[in-house]
Amino acid sequence: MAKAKKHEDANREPFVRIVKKGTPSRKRSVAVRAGSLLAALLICSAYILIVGKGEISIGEALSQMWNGTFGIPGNERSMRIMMWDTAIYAAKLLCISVALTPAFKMKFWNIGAEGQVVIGGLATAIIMHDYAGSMSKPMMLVVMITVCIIAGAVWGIIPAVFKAYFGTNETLFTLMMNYVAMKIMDYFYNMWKGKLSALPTFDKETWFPSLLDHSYTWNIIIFVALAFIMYFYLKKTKHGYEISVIGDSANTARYAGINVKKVIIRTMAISGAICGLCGGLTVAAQNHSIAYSAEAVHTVTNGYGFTAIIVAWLANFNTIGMIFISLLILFLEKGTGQLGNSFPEFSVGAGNVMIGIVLFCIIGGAFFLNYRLVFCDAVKNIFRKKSAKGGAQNA
Amino acid sequence: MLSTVLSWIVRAILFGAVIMYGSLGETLTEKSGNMNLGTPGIMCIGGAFGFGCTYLYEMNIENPNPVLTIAIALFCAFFFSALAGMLFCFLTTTLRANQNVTGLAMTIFGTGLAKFFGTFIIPEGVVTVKATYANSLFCKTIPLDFGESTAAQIAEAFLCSHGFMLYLAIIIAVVMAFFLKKTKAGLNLRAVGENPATADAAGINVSKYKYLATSIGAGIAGLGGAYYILDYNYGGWSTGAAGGLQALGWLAVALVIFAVWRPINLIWGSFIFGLCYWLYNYIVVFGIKMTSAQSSLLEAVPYLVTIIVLIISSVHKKKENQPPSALGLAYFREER
Repeated sequence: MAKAKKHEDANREPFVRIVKKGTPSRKRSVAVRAGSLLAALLICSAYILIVGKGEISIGEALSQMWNGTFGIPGNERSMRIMMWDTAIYAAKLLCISVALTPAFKMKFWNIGAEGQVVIGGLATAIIMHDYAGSMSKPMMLVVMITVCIIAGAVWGIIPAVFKAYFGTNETLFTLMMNYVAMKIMDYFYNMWKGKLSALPTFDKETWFPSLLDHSYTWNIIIFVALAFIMYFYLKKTKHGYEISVIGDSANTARYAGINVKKVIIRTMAISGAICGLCGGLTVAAQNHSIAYSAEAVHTVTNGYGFTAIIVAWLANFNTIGMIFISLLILFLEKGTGQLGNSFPEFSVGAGNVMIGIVLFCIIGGAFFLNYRLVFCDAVKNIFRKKSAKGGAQNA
Repeated sequence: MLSTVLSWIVRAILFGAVIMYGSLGETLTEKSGNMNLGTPGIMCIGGAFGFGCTYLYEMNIENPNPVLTIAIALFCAFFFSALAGMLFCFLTTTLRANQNVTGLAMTIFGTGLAKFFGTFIIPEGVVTVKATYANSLFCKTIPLDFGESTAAQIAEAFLCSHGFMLYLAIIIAVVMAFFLKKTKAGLNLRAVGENPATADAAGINVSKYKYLATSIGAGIAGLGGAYYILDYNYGGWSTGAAGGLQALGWLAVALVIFAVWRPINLIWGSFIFGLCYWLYNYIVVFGIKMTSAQSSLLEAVPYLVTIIVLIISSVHKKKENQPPSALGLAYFREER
């Protein structure tokens, strides 16, 4: 008897089950994203109330975060400084995210952007340090750009070759390559530094030309342009089509006559090359120096090699959408930094926790893009009865 | 000369034991097909809460009980890390989010939470706080003296110059190896990691195994965090300690590959990683003098060795040396 009852239970419809949906409509994806952000805002509000022991109001916190990212409204000087600063970092984050996109679309999990950026930056730095004054300025700039692209591409091709020919796990391979690149940069940093307390900036003659009073204006222009070029490359070219076919199914691609090995290696070369370019430009135009990995923030990458993975994924591989996601991340990063300056309760860690909460909400919310919850009939009936009652009353 | 080698061995074993916890947890997690790149963050959480709770206990009690001090540290580290593991599993298994993305977000979150929790404990204007009593308990070595001969001293360095956490790590490794190879639940777990669809068809509750393996795995990794703070870092907590712990967490992920997903290999693998890590400090043993710049190249050795192991195991294609084949993939029953 008891056994029969149990059997009956097992056959009963589950309380809630999950059904996969097709491609989400634009309306739905906007609604889901907005819902995720709203949930994040609610949780963060509660968090700010707890951290600030009720003394920090949500509005004040938000306005502080705004000031920290875009400057104090009305104060032109503060706005100019903050906006330029936000723009360059957002552009850098955008560039790395754009670089990762073709690889990710191919389902090649390149989490080695950090290393590819570092090695590109190092290649440029070597030219700036050792060959300063040995060639004309335009020639110098061309060489600096070329070497960083080549270095990044090589760093990307190595794991790609092993993936293509031996099926080596690319996630773990590229992850390890990050640290190898960083240690190589440490080597040059310590060698050049010698007995000094910190590495001085490179010879001014080798710096990238400045524009509009900022040394890194060209970086912003190039990085944003890359986002549009990549959008076109993925949507409108044969290469882009091959990438998305491989991403959907490598077997289908092979059957359709696509040379999968070649595409994997070519795409990773592009991915690595753009990362390398980002590193090279950062060193040549923004930092004019390289960084030591034991410091709290690696100034060549700012840890964006990892953050970019999240950005690329959150933007659903839409390189233009990444502009907004990069700005959102920068708003969180710089905003929570500003909160820390204004309120002592809000330490560095507290800011990271808040970024984590927002990311979890968006990551978790993406579930509702692709899946739908279906409740069992009993629950449905309750809703149906309620709406019927409501309808009757209205009538 | 001998004393230098001995101190190298002792330091290598201590360092290895810390990352071994991270790797043990990650091995168990990856066996279920979940790749938790949040391990560095989770180790930070373990370190912060394990240290924090035992520190509060020791500060507020007149005569702290040794057993209770250790129990509080280990329990809190395990519990809060396991919670973080559960959150990871909820996002990746139930909500089917991408594991790499979730893991990296977990690293940001975990490191932040650790630093944030630390600021509650550290009084204003102080950089480091120390849990002196807990540290003395974690550092307590076995009081055995083997004698003065070279062999005896080496044996001493290997066997009894360490706190109890080293032996606990070895026990966990052996138990985990037995569990994975010899028990039915272990077989089920491996089936989930290799091919969840087949496991599901065989009547195994895939989600349950993923949740349990990921949570317990995260808990074990968290123990390593507490061990790092209370022994390796001489019982001191500072915001910088969280940064050091995070760097170590990535090595733990590397070690899992180095050991080709086998808990027993972790025991000697962690020792080799420890030797590699400290190589830059003890390279004089081989009669080589290095500048500080050159020694930073040596720090890349553990990562290079891991890459070589990864390549060799994929070129050889030996079945027993491969990562779990469903590693990193979300499973959805209605999808083929």
